[in-house]
Amino acid sequence: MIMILTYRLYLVPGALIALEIIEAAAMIGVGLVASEPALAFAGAGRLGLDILFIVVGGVIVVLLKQTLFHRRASMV
Amino acid sequence: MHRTIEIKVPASYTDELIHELEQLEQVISLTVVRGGSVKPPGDVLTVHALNYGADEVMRLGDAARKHGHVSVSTGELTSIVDPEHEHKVANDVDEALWEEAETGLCHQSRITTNYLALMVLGGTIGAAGLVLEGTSQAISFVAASIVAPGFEPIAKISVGLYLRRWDVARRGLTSTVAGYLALMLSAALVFALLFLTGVVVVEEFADNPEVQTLAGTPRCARYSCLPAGRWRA
Repeated sequence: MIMILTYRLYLVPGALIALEIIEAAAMIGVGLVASEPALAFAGAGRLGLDILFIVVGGVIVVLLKQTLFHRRASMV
Repeated sequence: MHRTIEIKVPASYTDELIHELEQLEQVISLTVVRGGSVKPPGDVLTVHALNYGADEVMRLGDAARKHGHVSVSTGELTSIVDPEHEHKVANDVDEALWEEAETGLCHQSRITTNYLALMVLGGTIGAAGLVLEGTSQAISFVAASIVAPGFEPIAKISVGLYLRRWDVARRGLTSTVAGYLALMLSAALVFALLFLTGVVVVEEFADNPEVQTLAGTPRCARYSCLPAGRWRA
C-alpha cells in the first residue's frame, strides 16, 4: 500500500502480494474438482485471512497518510 | 515526480484563485490562459507544483467549485528546472494524490474483459503450479501473480473504507469477488482438464508440499520425516 501511495510501480507491489493469495485462491477451485473439500476449505480460509490482512494493513497505511500528510478528502 | 495540475475555472473566480495560488511557496510556476477552456467554459490555470504542495492546490481547486463548474486534471512532471527554487525542488516528497491513487486502482481493477481475462490466466498458471514442485512451482506462482491483477481491487477496498468513499469500497469488493471467482473457476477447469487427460493425478495436488503448507497440515502427518530434512511419501 505504501508503494501504491508513493508513485512506486503498481506491478511490483501487486505481484508480490498476489503471490501470496493467488495460490490459495487456485487451491479452492482445484480442491473442489479434485474432491478434496478439506483442502478447498483450507484454501478459502487462507484466502480470507490474506485479504483481511491486506485490507486492515491498507487501512492503517491510508490512515497514516491522511493524518500525517494529505489531511483532506478526495475532490470527488 | 513533481505535479502539473490544470484547473479549468469560471472566469469570475480566476483572479481570486490566482491570488491564492501565488501565496503557496510550493507552486513553482503558474500560467493562465483566459477564455482558454471551451468545456467547461472559463479560464485555464496550469500549476507546476511540488508534491508536498499538491494537496493544497487541490484544496483550492475544490473550494473553487462553489463558484461554478471546475474541472481539474493532474499529471507527473519529469523535472522542474528552476535555479531559484532548486533547493525546494530537490527536497520534494514522493506522495501520490488521493485522486491519482484512486484512478490508478480503478484502472487496474475495473471489471472489464481484460481484467477477467488476466485473472483467468492467473488461475490457469496457478493451477499448474499446484501440481508442480521446486523451481517450476515457484516460477508458476510468480508468473500467475504477475499476470493476475489480484492486489489492486483489495487495495481499493482499503482506500474506500478509510476515506469513507463507500462507492469505491463497494467497487473494490465487487471486483475482488468477480476476479477471484474467475480465477478459481479457471483453476478448477484446468485441473479437471489435466486430470481427464491423464496428465496429473489427484495425489499430485493433494500431497504437494506447498499445498500441505497452505492447508496448514503438518507434513509429517502425510509424509515420513527423514533426518536430513527431506520427505518421503
